[in-house]
Amino acid sequence: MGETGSYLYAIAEPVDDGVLGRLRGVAKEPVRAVRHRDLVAVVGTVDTSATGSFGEEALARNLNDLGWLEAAARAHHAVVDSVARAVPAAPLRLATIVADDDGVRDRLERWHDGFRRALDELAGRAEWSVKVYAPSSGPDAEPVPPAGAPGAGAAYLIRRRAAATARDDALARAAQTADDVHAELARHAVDTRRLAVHDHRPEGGDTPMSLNGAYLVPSDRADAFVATVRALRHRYADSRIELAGPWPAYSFVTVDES
Amino acid sequence: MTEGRERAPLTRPYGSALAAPPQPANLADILERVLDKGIVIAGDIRINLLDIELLTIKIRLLVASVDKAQEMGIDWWRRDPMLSGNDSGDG
Repeated sequence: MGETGSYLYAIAEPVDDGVLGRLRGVAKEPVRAVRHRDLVAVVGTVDTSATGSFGEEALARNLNDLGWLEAAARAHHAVVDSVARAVPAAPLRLATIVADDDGVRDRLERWHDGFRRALDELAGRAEWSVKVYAPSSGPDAEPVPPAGAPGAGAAYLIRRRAAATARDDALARAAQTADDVHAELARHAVDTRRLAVHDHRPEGGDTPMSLNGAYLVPSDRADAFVATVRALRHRYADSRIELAGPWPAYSFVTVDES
Repeated sequence: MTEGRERAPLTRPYGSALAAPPQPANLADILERVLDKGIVIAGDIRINLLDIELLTIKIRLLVASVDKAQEMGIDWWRRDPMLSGNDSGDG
């Protein structure tokens, strides 16, 4: 291949070669550590030439190809996740590519202190995701009388009004449930984020998401966190509460350049 | 400044307490995180410091997010959660 670039997966504590040796990256390439001072960047070499998958035009096309995007996202995540299971690691966003390893070291130097602080904060902690789908409509009203039956028009209006009220009540309850669940889980977390709720309705339901929470939980409190989710499922039995994790701390790492 | 100083190993990473993932990660969760979260060393406000490739990738990602994620019903870029609470149309 012609030009290549260094694709970054994570900034991490120095990580054992045995961990990296098993991994393959977004281009099925071997993954390696570029060390600078007390940090490493976990990188792979990708083809950025005009004909390579990570060349400028090809990458623009590929990122819009959902099949390619899914494979790349899963591969990126798999590398980040494996590293984060071995050492504290700060994930980089998908498709962060710099010209070469010197460029990687430049960034490790430029943002060293920020990365250092981020890794210190992440050590021994992981991200958990909790989503709440709370019912936003009340139970269906009584059966509809046949059209043309006496009083059907008035009954229809009454039903509509009642349905609108029930909907408002249900929305308020859903918002309250989301707040309660979040507050309860936050007690076990050292940091929390409320991510934007997805408009997407999960398969088989028309229940909207009312909470998309991310929780940074110390590993010695992970069991308590999971137990709390179970307890909340009992308490809010009419809501669906999804738990996913542990994740690398994608939602908690920010590096601000000073 | 702690330049060049080696640090003692920090507390355990999460893997040691929780060896196996509880379930395969859901694609929407992965995309939400790898596209929208994580470190952006190409921060928007520092574009003049960046290599050109970082800048263009940022733009590409926006394209990918909007066009394709929407097909999947993933719409985290839409920063207005009120939109979903606004559908008072009843059929």
